Amino acid sequence: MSNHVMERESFASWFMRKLTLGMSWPEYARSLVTPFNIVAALILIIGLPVIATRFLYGLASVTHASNDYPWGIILGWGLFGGVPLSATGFIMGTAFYIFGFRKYKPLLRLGLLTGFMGYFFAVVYLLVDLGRPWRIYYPMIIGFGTASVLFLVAWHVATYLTVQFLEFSEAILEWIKSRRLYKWATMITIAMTIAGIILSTLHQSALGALFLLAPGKLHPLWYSSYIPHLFLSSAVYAALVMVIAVSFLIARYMPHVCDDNYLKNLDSLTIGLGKGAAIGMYVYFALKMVALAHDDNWSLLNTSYGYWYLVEVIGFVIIPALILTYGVKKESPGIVRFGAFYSIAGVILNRINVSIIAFNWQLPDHLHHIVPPITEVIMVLTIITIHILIFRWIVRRMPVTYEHPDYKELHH
Amino acid sequence: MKKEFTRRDFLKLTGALSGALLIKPDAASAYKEFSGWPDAYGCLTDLSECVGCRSCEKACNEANGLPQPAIPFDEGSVFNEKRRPDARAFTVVNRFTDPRDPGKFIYRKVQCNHCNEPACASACPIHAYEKTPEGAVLYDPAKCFGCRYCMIVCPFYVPAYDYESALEPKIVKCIMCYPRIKAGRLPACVEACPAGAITFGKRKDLINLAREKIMRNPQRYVNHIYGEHEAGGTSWMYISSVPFEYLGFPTNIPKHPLIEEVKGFLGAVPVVFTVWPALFGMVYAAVKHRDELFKSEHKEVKK
Amino acid sequence: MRKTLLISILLFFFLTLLFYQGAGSVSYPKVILLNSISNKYTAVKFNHEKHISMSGGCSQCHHEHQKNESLICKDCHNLTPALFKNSVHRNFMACRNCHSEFNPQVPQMPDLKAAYHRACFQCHRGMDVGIEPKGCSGRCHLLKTAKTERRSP
Repeated sequence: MSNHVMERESFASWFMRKLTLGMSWPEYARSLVTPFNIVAALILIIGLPVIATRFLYGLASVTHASNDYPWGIILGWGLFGGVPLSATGFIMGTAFYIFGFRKYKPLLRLGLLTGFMGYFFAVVYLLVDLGRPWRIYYPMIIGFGTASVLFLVAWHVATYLTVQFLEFSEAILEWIKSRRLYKWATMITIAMTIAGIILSTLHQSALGALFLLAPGKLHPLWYSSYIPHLFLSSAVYAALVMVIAVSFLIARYMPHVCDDNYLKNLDSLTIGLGKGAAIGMYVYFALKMVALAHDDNWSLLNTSYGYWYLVEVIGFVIIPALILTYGVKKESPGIVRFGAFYSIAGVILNRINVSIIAFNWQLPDHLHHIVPPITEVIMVLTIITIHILIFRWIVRRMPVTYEHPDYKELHH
Repeated sequence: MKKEFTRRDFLKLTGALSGALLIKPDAASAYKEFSGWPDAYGCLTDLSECVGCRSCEKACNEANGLPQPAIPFDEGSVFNEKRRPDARAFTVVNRFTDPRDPGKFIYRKVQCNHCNEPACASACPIHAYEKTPEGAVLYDPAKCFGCRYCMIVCPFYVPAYDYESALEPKIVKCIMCYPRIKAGRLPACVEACPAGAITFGKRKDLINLAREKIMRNPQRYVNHIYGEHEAGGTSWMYISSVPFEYLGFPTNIPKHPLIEEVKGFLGAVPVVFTVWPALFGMVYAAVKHRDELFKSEHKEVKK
Repeated sequence: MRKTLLISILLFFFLTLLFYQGAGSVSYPKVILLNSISNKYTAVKFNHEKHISMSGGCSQCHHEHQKNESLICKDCHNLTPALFKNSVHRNFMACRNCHSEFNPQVPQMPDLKAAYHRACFQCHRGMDVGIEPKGCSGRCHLLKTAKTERRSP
């Protein structure tokens, strides 16, 4: 039926209708004037010139550009913080397709999209930070640093981005109503999901393994031979709490894009995810303790970095895990959601600790050096804003939080 | 007539076989380990000889066509702050107060130590680094995309980045004057040093020399050749009259090449690639199988 | 060609003996003009006599027999009293005879420049060198001009 509609309509008007959500241009333009969009526009007006400056005048013009601190908040936040929170695609895909958690179907595509966008923007942050971003494909063609963990990360992120795109392509193809391609896309789902598991487990842990080459530079409380496992296991719960958070925000601020199935089931699904997340956090905490005991670093706990470590592990792992547990026991989605946001902060804190705060801890005046310049913060804020805008653009158009009526019967 | 195979023949045969195996006893049983190129060159800096004249900095600057420094080479005020190699300098000399006599100074020259198994080269995703058999660690800016992971992992804080450049930023570091070494000359800083504080030679000879110096002057030197074992050994080594931690040397570096820390992880990669599909494929099949059983049971119940 | 020229300029050491005066049984030059690299630096007027009176003896700078046993070269090259006397009184054995160009095959042997500087630095370090990089050109090596500083090939 939809194919007929397409044939009758000219391509240009079909395209416009897709873009403006069926509204006329003036209507659509008026619909864009919202408080959120005004704030976003302000950030972009300030931020885009800063990003342009970075490309025109070099990294030194807008970043702290230090030889002792090669990586700053752009990667600390965007890559190390962003990637574990983007494990949503791999976790939801695995849970749904492989382990058969069918009831999470309403959140599946949201997980895939969050993951895909997260990875895409991790690459964007990388492009801003790389000295010569136009050479980003060099590890694929020019030189193979096969002993390099970063080589592994580069390949896996690139491949996984493709895999995630293919996984999410179902939604895109439903949106543009391409039946033939859709069939192809659904055929490779299982293969892509398993590929996603392989690539995700490897590069999530590889991001931690990056720091294995820097013993002595990373504080011993964070440096551990277990750091790949720690990164992977925290990514698992990070994905679950991220799905809780994103699904809540969409239901709260964009309920018109959600179907009944989504809105009705969200509370019970939130509690289910919260349960999984809490278990994941206890597992992570146990691994943290194993790492601490393995290196016999207990004595370091009674130092200033030790106190900070305890803030992270108790304040941002154990306490949010207890909150999640409490919320699950009380069957209160509100408490679980609060715990989820809290846990997300904990994951980001851990990655910032590893990549920025506990890194180079021995250098004199260290804590002064890691304060990012305002221009760097503006760049990060700008990219976050673009991330949200594109995410919202997609959610408003494509069947992410609702099931496309034409395709309902085709879904697994 | 068929010749009988006697015990004697058997012994002969096994003897010959084992003899064949024993020709090179170490070839089969040796643990494969690379501990640096055997004939690599290196430098030995005797920190007790350095007088802080910065001739090495000047010579390096000229030999490598680097821009003039912000503070002239004969200016002592440069020592007021600790410097590190950067985009404009492959090597810098820092001044430290002698812990034994606060009125005296000890100088430390900093440059790339040219590790036997460089962490920077292990880190580079594009293979832009090369450890040459001559000992120098080289970097190819034509390959680099500027991730700066080499700077993250270098335990000696050596590679620098020219952040100022928008179009052609690159890593900057000492190359042990590789072209000069190839031409049979000395590295520029070695040649320039008036005090002969830097000795150029085969790394193995330099270790012997350093041991000899320490042995003959136990009062003068601490019994430690910095770089003999640090990070698996470096081509550039140091002997000093005071413990190295007083001179800003990182002293918490493992004695093995840093790549050892990652080998376990890298070794797990092929395992994940092979085991995961089998494992998760099986889980998928099991879940599907259970669903089908469930469906057929339901059908039977309905009937 | 250029290399040998540079080395010969750098290493060839003219010792201009201005005075001879017998002091007891040992005779030695009083002031020595060191001007081998006079294209770069002005010649150094080295007051040999004053240094003798201030130092603890010849072996402070020269390899005297039976002294300075920590020197590696002494393991093989035995310096007998007779040889030493001869080298001082008859035909002066110039430093460059052994301390010539640095050879990476013999890393324990400092080249001429290093040998000379080390001899000076053992006392002068802290007095004027090793505090300021300018100490060198302020005390001994007066730079001629900026133009003559860089030798053309």
